[in-house]
Amino acid sequence: MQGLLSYTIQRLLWAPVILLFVSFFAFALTRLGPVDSVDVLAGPQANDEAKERVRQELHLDDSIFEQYSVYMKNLLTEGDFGESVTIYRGVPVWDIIWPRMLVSIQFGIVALFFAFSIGTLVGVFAALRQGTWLDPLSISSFLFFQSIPVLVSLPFLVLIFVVKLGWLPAVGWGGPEVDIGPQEIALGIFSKHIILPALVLSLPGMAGVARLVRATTLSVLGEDYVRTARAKGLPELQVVRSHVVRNSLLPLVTVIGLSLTTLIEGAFFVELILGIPGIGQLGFQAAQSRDYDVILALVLVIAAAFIFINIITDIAYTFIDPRIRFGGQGNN
Amino acid sequence: MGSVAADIPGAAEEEAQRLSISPWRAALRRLLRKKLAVIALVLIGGFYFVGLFAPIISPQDFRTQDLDNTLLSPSLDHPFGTDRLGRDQLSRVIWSARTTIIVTIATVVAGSLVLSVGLGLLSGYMGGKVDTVIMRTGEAFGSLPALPMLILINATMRDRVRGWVDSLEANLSTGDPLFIAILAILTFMAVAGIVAWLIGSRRNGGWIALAIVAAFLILALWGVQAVFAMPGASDYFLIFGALSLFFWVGSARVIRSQVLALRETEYVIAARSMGAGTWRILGSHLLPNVSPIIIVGVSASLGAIAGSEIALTFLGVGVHDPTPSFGALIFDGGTSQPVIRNHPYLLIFPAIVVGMLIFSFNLLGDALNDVLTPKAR
Repeated sequence: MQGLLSYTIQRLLWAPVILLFVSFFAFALTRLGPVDSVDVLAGPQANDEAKERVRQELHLDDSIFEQYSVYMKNLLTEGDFGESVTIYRGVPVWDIIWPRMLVSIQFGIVALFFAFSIGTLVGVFAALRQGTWLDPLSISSFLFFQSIPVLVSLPFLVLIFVVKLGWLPAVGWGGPEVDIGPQEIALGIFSKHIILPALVLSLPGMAGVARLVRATTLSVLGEDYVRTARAKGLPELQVVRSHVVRNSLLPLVTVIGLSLTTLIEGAFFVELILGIPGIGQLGFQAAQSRDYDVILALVLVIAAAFIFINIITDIAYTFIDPRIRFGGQGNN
Repeated sequence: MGSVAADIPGAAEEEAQRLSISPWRAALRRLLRKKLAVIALVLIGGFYFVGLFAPIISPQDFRTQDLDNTLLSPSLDHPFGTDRLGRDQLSRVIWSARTTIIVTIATVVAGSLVLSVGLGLLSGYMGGKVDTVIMRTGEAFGSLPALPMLILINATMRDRVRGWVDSLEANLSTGDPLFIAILAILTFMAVAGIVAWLIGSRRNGGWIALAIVAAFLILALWGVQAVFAMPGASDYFLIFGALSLFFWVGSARVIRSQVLALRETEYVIAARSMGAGTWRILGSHLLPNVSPIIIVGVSASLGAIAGSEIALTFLGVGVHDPTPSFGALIFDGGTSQPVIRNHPYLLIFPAIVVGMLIFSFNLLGDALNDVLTPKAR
């Protein structure tokens, strides 16, 4: 356990360093990237006086390091991400992001659940049917779903399920509303609106899970203890359930981080195409109307969540599988 | 992965010995025996052919508007129909292929080949501080979701990059004496490098490295010159620059771990004890042995690179109108329900083409992985 503890501490110490690097990189982009950042940060209709005020307020004449330290101080001490300048003029960025995050998280979780449950079933199924035509069929069709980007597959699903068949609501987001402070959000998780976004986002992840589970199941099937279990006359179902599946699911922990990437990136397209008021749509609007502090806050929040979850996965993995202690990365 | 890959050409090696052909040819034979891989190769080849010769192949210019014939259904004149400005959709698809090709090639060369191979080799062979710096930077980039970062980069840097490219374009023309002088110097370096390498009885890898770098710079100069001549050049630069930042990490990491293993093999130790320099060992002993991994890595990332460009354009931070891109075509055809309902062909044709392309990239990557790395057999 000594190694595990020091590994955990090492990872946890490394996270703030990466976050610092990322936040500085992203911050520098928003301040140094545009030819004259005050034009952007003061908004399109600002007159000279307003620009001067913004210049003072954001310390734009100071060096980038001083600007960064002011920004980080406000962020860390007061949770202040600054104000939106174009989308919702003057509204604190956090009040815009928070309700939208709750919307995106809803279909993200459902998609993750679909991906892992269905993906596991298909993977085990394909592995047990190895050598028959069902195996290559299911696996190559899954490679297909894994390859097709969400922005290509989603319009097709809309064409079929919304336009032609009319099974699902046309667009948007709805459901029972709850009040969370800055505004009300709809719980789409209790309505039909959740189906399409969760389904389309789970497809690529589902494929990845299925392929991985198939590979690990195949290797577990060749193990001695499986042969022993069969030899002692256990029913096949029980062999699969308690000897094969249980051991082949371990590596799945590692792909949670990967699926998260797919989810976050996919959210941009899903929300844009279906008109769901989540963080992806916000990111698009912010990029279009050059509301850089909103994108900056989005990048920081997403990066933090991402790094945090990756670390948890890493640590969970070393806990679950003692063979992979001490990080394992590097000198292998 | 690393320890298994230690004898990389091994998959094809037995076969190569049996048939007494080189491992590369054996790998090629194995690849060509996979039906899906061959189909994927043909599709990709066709796509690149069409894209490269877009000016000749496309029936119309992608900008030609015909406002009397907007939103036509597919017909003999316009096999893919026309868009809301009466532009021929088939021509736009063909020119979009060109955009995809430019971005994939540029990103593969800049990000995968130069950055990841160079940094991976250096990091593995040098070890120590160099290794730490390179790998930690890579880890920082790799631990981020790329898309939000790419959006941020492209949204903020767009005007600035356009300014740079405009000023470069104004100052860099093929008739310029400076351009010719630089080209002459580079050519001389390339030739001198090769000659010195041959005279030095091919001992010193430094000379051949010089020649290769010079030749690469010549190619890059001409390439840049050609790209500048196109409309929307700054968009291309921004996209492939930003993508390269994120796409070198994965292969660099694999190459590094491979080099770590190879560094201690007998032939490298033998070469070092005979007095071979760092460059020679890197260039002629390590590089050939990691090249299968490089190929697998590149082919695995092609689909992701093509997909990223399309995604960025879809989100409005990639290439901009009038330069056509699949991202823009799918955005126009697939985001508004009236268009999907009444003119589904505007979505279907580009989406099928791009879907098949990315699927083919992944099929090929899978097959190459099977052929070139022994374990996955």
